[in-house]
Amino acid sequence: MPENPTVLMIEDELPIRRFLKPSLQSHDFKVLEAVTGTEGLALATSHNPDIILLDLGLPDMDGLEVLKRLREWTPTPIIVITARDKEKDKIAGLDAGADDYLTKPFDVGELLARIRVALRHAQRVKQGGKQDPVFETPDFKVDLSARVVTVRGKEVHLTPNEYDLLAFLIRHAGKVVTQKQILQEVWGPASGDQVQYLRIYVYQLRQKIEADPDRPRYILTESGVGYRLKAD
Amino acid sequence: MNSGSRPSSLLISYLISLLTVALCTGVSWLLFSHVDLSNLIMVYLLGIVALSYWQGTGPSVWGSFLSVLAFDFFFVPPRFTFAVADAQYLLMFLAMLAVGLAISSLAARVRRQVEKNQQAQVQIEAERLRSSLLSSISHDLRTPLAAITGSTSSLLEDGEALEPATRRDLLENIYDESERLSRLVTNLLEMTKLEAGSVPLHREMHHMGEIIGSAISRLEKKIQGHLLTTQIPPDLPLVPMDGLLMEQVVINLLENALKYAPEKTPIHLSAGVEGDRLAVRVADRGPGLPLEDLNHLFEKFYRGAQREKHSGAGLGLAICKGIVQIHGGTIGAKNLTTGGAVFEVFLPLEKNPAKPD
Repeated sequence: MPENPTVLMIEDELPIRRFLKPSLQSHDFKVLEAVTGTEGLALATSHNPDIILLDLGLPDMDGLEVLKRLREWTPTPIIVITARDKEKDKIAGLDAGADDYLTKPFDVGELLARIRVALRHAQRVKQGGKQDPVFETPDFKVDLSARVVTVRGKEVHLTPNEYDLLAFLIRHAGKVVTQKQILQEVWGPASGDQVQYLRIYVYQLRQKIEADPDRPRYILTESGVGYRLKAD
Repeated sequence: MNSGSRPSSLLISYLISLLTVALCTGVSWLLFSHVDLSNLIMVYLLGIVALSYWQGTGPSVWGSFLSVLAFDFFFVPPRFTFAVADAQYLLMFLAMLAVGLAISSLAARVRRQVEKNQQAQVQIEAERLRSSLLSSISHDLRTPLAAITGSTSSLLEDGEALEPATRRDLLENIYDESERLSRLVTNLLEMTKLEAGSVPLHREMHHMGEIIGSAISRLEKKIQGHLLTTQIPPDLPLVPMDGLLMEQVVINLLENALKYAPEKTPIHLSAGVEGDRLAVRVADRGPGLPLEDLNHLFEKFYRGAQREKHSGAGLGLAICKGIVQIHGGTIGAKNLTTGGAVFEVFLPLEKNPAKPD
């Protein structure tokens, strides 16, 4: 993780910038501000920030368009900020290459957590995608090389589908993943309409891993968008 | 009021006129030998009053004409003919007809007036409801705003002079009230959309257990201090529903239970298949539902007898009902014999996909 990461904030609303900038700066981020999509694209090109916050509701161009243009040349992590009730926007953003999303109104704490996860993930990818062979949480442990899953001390058997799903979630730990992403990466491009099976697998996985499957602590549903494996 | 819009009821009304006039004729026949001819007119006029009261303007006008004819035929000499022996009887007929028509028209006017009064009453009621709703929403919006403005201005004015604990308390107050405001705005928007019918339903096959779990995790903070238990069979079939909307329903029901159930008391969420429906229940051990609230629980803005103690605009349950209904389901509430209340949602099942693996 860079010492003082640079964050490019593409946000047109002053009241939002007014609290975001000081909060980010107090957490040792260098902050670049852009108030339009055009300005944002220009600053991204000239300064190559470590992470980009992109509000999808921009005045001069469609936020998704900015996202797509950025993704044409940079793998920099991008977190999109959307209004409530715009699930379609969130999914579109994530599918177009955003790493995560935030819904207004949001907590600064939430934002910082997602920024950290995105930066960590980007770092790992930069280092060749090398992953710790063992993924561990207080409740369960997964040895990715041996394909062994231990839940609260006892080894648990997962079906191949359940394991693949869990491994995928671990590879993206902390980040949100859309249903489409899961289906495509785990089951291949022909699986578009298998969403309901995905739900069943997630449910079965929760039954085996979570202490209280009805109140999951790790495998979280992001309503209307997808899932997130909480690693901390 | 009988406007005779359907042909058959029209025919029946006019038949009744005929019968009424026949009845009056019968009564007059009995009185014929005992009273003056002019008194018999009263009998017919009574008949016309009855007709205009119970049958309407048309039949009573018809009855007026029939009455004159019957009176002429049966009682005015020469009897059993339509001829008249004396021209002054014509005056009698005229008077009778005039009075009969006057009664009909007066009765019609009274009817119209009554209708207008009823409508005015309904409008007054609606007006009253609207202004009380507006003042209620206004109050619910202004209260958190007042708290936020007050707390922030206090921090700006005296920030340095205040104790850190006090400063923190003020800031938390601002945060809590902002959340409340946010919730209220969301509810108002949701309710408006539901009313306008502009809520698109994105139906997919969902596992109710997942939706319940999602709802619970969203309310995690508020659940602290309560004993929340769940009972969801793992083999619950998938049901077609809009996941986000149904999650909102569960959240609203759960928030409701959390509001009214005292701390440390249990709240129980359950789901299961009952016949051809999926049942979801939220039960608490709170004070239960007052009888006078039971019929109004799911009405917009209804806040129940406990309105002073609890905040919120009374939209949560109305939103639940709206969402459940567009899913083709039903929602209800009742008191438990063991104390507390239970809210039940029923959704229609549909053939679910064969389970894989």
